[in-house]
Amino acid sequence: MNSADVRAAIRELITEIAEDMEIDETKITDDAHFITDMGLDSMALLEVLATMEKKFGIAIPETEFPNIVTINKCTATVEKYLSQKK
Amino acid sequence: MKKDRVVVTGLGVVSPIGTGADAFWNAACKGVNGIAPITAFDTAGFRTSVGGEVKGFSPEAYLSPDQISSMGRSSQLAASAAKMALAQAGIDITQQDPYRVGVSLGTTMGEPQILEQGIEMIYRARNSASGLPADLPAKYPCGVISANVARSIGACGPVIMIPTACAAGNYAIGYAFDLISTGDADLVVAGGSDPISKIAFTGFNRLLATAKELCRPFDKNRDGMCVGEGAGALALESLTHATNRGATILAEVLGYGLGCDAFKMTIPDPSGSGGILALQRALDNAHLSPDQVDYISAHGTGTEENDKTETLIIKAVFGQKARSIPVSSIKSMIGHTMGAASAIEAVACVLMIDRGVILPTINYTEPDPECDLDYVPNSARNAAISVAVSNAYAFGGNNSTLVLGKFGG
Amino acid sequence: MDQPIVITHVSAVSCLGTNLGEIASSLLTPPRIGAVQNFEFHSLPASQPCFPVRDFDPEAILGKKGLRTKDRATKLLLSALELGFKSQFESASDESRPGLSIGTAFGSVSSIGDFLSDAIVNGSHNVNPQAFANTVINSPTSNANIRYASRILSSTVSTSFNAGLDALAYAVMFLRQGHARCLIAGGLEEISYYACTGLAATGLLSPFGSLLPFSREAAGTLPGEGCAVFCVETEASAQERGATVIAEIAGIASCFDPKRGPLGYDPDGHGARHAMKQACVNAGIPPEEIGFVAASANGVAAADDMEALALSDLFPKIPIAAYKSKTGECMGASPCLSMACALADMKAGRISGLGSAYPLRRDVNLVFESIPVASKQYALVNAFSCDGYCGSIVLKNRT
Repeated sequence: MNSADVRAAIRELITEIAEDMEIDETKITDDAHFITDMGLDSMALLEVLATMEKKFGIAIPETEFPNIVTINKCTATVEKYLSQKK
Repeated sequence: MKKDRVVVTGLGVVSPIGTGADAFWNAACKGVNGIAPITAFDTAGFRTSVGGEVKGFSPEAYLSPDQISSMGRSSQLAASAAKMALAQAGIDITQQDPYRVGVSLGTTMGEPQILEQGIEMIYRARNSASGLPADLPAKYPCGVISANVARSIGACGPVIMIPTACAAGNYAIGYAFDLISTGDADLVVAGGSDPISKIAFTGFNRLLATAKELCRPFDKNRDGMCVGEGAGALALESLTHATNRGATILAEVLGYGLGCDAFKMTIPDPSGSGGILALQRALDNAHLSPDQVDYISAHGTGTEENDKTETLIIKAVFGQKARSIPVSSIKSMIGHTMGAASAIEAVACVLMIDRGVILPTINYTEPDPECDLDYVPNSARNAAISVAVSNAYAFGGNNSTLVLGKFGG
Repeated sequence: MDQPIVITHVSAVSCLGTNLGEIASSLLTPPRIGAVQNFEFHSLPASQPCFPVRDFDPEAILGKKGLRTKDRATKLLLSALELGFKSQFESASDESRPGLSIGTAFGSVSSIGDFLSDAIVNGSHNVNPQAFANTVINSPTSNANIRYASRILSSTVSTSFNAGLDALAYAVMFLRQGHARCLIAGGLEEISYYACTGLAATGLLSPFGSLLPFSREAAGTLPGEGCAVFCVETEASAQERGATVIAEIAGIASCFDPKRGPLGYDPDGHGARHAMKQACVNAGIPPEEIGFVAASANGVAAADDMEALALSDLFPKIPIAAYKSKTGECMGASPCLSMACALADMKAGRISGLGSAYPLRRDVNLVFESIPVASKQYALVNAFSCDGYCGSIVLKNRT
């Protein structure tokens, strides 16, 4: 699992959520804030957290929740716990 | 249309701090904490291990062995509470026209333990339902709870289950109020019930909504709600019916109001729009103005969002007066008993009105600048209450407010 | 009763169609029985004959937005509302957008069951938080309130197979009490693994794959699904909106029968009799004024016997329609689907028959070949459940 795979998985999920909420695809960038820039809600954030845990077999502590806010930050967080797992 | 007044003549409660109105009241006045480690299922690995379980509940005191074995826990809790309420009201149903006696109940999860049991059996049998006991599935759909209660008390009138999640108790009492005031029924047992459930516990943990150790509504350091269980029931009857049989009247139901956020399934509208509508409609329905309200029983779950939004709602409706009205949440003591919550809170309001004491919000240590009302911190307070309102908010933005008052004759 | 409560519009998602016109023509064709076996987490031991909503394509009706995490029950309700009431919601002001009262027996059971199954198969810590929102029983109704920005009422009623009728009773009460002037009320049920398994274990399903109401051979029912919703409002509200009145809810009555006979039905039919009588009393008419009865009969011998007995006392000569032979036992949605069929027949000026005749259990005036509806204005719709719930509605034709 490399960084590109993690990023791609997160991007795919965010795109799926954004499409469901009819959010303009151009708003999805690696640095865009899920809530303030893209307009997702806290439920969507919880889903991102849950899906990443399940997909990568990691446990992300709740204290990291504030970091699950952009694709970049989310990728870094997942990688951190993936490396701890190894 | 003939409109009769609706009065409360009996109370039933099963709660994490006591079963029966007196046991519940004595514990609540002392500010007993009913939150403890959950024993019904394994909580390992969850964000919390605590909840509001009913300890040492014996349905045998209220129901026959046959009735008990035919019912799931939610029905047992509800039927026991219903029997207590009728006993206090001194009503012998066999002396009533049974078609004039109704049941109106609410729930969030219904009989979740039955479904949990069934699905676990199915997986143990390698994903096959062939070994399911024939009587198990019929115990599940939530309409069976109100049917069980009706059967156990002998009601043959309108019987309804209104599963509007955590506002269900208020919805059910509201419907009972309408049934009686229009003359469709003389007597309705109204309330709500929910058993502790793995589904709710898992779900609220997954939403990061559960408190780690204690439920601290309105406190700056509040960190969530505690999943609980219980049942509350009120014997409601028309004033004419109560007067004719010389009943002791504990309080009067003055009205109720509903209002929807139309916002999100699990997040309250931060502007409190639905809660404001419910509160205003309740006061209108009761023909009262905000300055006539003496006490507010809060939904007060202890989550960041609820307590902030509810404070906003109270301020929006009561304006300048908001800071001088006592507001408390008994969820601080018993946790969030889901569909039973507003029914138990209605029971608590009737007791407060009848006994002139306001129950406290316990575990309150540090004020939150965003929650700046009088939350009756930590100790009960003597006060005469003529009018109490009780808020209950639910998933889906289903908001409700009930208005209860001292019966003035 | 005070001012009349009227029905001004009907919408459905059902195996018979989505509006009164489609339902009226489908009623003249033989029942179309399908089958289900495999669900997301579980499979039935054998293919189960049933009445599914065929070719249901929620995306085509609702668009893609917001459907990703919604369950089938929610999509059925949203589709019925979108097809029938979209413009009414859109043209109404914020305060007058109709509220909702929806009845369902099993509610969100498949979302709850799948949430639990997911927790067992994949671990409690891996469940999707979005899926939890669907587990509350009021989730379909609430999702509809959110979609259509309705702030007046979001109520869910669950009284077994009477749920749709009691949701109407709830709505009628809400209107009578002046809490609202215009509501949408109805019934909803999806075919789920859990409901099929439950009905099978309880012994309610037909071993022959057929549903023959009041048949001498009646041995059980077949599950169906769908949603039927009605715009119910005060006469004054309908006049103000310029809405065409289809029918009036002249009387509605619900009661409870505590006696449990075979499969949970009271063999003496006390509750059934009381509900029918009381509905007529509430409508202010003698039973003789009823032109036809839409029976609750679903092919379960004990249920059909109970109803036949009660009918023979109160309505010995009146024609009886049994629409469940065409819709299946749609559980909480059944009373409302039957009511939609009755309205479709009323509008078409006939009572649609079941088709080829079969021997009956009791002397019931069951309509096999379609007949013109008598000059009488009233019809009675029944709903009787194995849990003891009994309800009847008197409809007055206004078309």
